[in-house]
Amino acid sequence: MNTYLNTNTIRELLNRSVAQLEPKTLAGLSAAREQALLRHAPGKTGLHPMTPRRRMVAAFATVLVTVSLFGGIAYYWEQAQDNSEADLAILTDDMPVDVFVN
Amino acid sequence: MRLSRRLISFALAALLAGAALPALAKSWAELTPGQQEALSPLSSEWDALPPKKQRYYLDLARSYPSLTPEKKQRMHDRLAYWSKLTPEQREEARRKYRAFKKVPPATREEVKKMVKEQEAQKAASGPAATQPDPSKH
Repeated sequence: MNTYLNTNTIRELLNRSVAQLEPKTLAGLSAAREQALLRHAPGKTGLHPMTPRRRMVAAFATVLVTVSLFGGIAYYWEQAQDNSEADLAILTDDMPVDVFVN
Repeated sequence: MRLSRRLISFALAALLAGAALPALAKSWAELTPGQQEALSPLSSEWDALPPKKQRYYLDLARSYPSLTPEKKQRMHDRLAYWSKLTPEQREEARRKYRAFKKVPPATREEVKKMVKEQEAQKAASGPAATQPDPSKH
């Protein structure tokens, strides 16, 4: 026996099935649907929606990481510059190099 | 959040660019005549030097044109010797040099005079007098 199922038929069948469900189960399904819709709302990403507080913490952490990163790079270049100046002085000073090396 | 991602991307790009710079090695032939003149004592070993060391010497070479002829000569005399030192020896030399710079100028001059006298005595008495040591220049 072949039964032709179109969208309307399926919708009717589902509505009839839903009508047979207990109110408690219906409430649970409805809550789950709401939650799922919230997660996929425009502008929301991931499983946890970003609260303003989370957003602030994320921004602060990013700024902190960026500042540390640039601070580290700046410190490295400053050290390299200091060493270069000291080395040039040692190489050109009228004191013999071995006075500083040994 | 989009701003945070942009900042992270920017920071990572900057870090990668910074890390990529030292990887650029230059052959001796690629150096400018000025750089070649400043670093001539290293000409034979230049192409085998790691890029990081090359960059270090190129930094030194940048100051070379502003040196007096006497200082240029000293740099040339000492450069090959300096390049053979270990990083630890160089760090120790910098530490001592910085400490020496903090000594009052009058005391510093006295020390220099003393060292020169000792060097002259050694040169006059020892067999090393005929074999100049680059580190003593």
